Amino acid sequence: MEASSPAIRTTRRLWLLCLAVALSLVGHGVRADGRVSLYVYLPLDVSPRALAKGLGASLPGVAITVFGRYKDFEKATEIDHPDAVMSLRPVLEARNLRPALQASIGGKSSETYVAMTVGYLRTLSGKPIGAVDLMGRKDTARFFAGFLSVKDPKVIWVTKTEDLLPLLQFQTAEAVLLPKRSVGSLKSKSSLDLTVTDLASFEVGLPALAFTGPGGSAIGDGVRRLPRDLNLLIGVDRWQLE
Amino acid sequence: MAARVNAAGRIIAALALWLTACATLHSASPEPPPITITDASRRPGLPVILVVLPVTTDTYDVWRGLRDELGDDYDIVTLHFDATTTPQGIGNAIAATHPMCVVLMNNPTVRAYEQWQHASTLTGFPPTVVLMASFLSDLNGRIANAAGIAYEVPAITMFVNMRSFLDRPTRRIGVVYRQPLHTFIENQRTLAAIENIELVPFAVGAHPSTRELDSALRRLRAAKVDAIWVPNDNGLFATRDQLVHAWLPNLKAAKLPVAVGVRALVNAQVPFGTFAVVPDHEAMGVQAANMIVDLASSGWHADGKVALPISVKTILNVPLARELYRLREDQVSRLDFVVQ
Repeated sequence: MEASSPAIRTTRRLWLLCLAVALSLVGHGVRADGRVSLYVYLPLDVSPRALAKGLGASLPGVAITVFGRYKDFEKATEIDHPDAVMSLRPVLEARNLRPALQASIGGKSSETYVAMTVGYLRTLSGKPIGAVDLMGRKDTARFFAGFLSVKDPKVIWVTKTEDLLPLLQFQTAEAVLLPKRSVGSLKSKSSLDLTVTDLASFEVGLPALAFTGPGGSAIGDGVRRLPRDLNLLIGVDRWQLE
Repeated sequence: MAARVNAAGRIIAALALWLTACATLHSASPEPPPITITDASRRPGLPVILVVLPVTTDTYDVWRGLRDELGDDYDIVTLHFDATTTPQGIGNAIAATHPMCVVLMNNPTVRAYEQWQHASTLTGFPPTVVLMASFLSDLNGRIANAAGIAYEVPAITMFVNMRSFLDRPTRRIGVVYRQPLHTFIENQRTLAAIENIELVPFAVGAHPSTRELDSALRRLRAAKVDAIWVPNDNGLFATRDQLVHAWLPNLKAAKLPVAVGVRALVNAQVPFGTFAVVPDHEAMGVQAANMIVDLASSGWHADGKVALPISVKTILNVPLARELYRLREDQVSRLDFVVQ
């Protein structure tokens, strides 16, 4: 076999370098259009369409994908390796992602959950309870079990906060669990006698942002400057470095 | 001349809408299957859930929801149902896989399974969850050991969603329906009352003429209702004449919000439906998974009950809605899709 000339070796090295750069970019979610990517999963009262529109207008140059279902978010994140992911803090933690930015409202970085029932309900024990699946059926059950003083709760999982109301209307659930901030929206839609009970110490971390690729830090800069209206849509008023 | 061209254009658009609506009412997904469903490899020792379905975009979404929820604990085995599938073909799949539960999607699949059960000499059948089949109220007498989720979005869900973004009182909703659906409409009336909404029904015969439909719609317009609901019943749109000469002129004259259960009827070209509420198919898969988890905890005994679908997607024709009435703009962001 002939030894390659220095010129050929240099060309090969350049090609290998290009290939390595290309592979690293593919691995870290830089898209064909050169934009960095942000994947978002936030169970909110607004549709993923509206959230994507708001984030898109505030984060130019960032390709934003908003997921309405945890499983889709989980799979896409594993396959696509976006530059950053935004979700509730416990969702990021369940995926072993370290938040780089944490959102808060009124200086508090968690939100209180409440139980909503039709009329007064003495106890949740033994009753079917509706809740939004935050991080997969089993992990959410484990997470919620830590807060509920109920043995073996029978939980009916839904994918959206708005789906909690039909559970009560159709008497599929006797109580539903939801963040306090969503109470007004559900109550405003219904004529039912909806009663809200605070659940002591049921606090769930607010949205956070984790950097998962080279463009993450730039996305973080943009997220810290999100406009007030959009932050309120997300249910927060400030983003700060962890 | 311009007006005549405009009118002709509207009639052509109306015909297109009629064809689309009929196709959509007959089948949830008229388009050819764009996807293939491939099962993961079987894992020894895991129980099986056998899913029988025709491959459409909608059944795929339900299947995906089901697989994502239950795929860790069960092997999901899929039997693709098509024109060549026989009732015995379903029986053979059951014999081969010994499923803990069978999931059936769509009317022909349910009919074939029903035929297989009736012809079978077996004394016991695996529990069956029926999805995406029309008017399931008689499930208990048809299939042994079955439960299901109704495919029709409950009227209460439509009305509550519609009420939330209309900046006007929405208390009385008018509906024209065919007499064979009387029980269904009465059930919807009872449900709507939970949310203080009065359903005002006007019946027509089983095979209404255009004139009969027109007359019922005129009576509905005179009844001072706040909105109109058009149920998913292709018998109300059996001919293009009914659409062009009964529905369209009456809906136009009514100047009221019109709630429909078919996305194609909320259309930028033809002012038919203002607002559509359709099933959220992925979420239906999640609801079916809840049902299967329940079956597992109750010793795999199905009680014949038919649950109402919980999750929906909402579509609003924004220009048409804004032309007719004021919207609560803060609520528009909650809609899943808007037609501009």
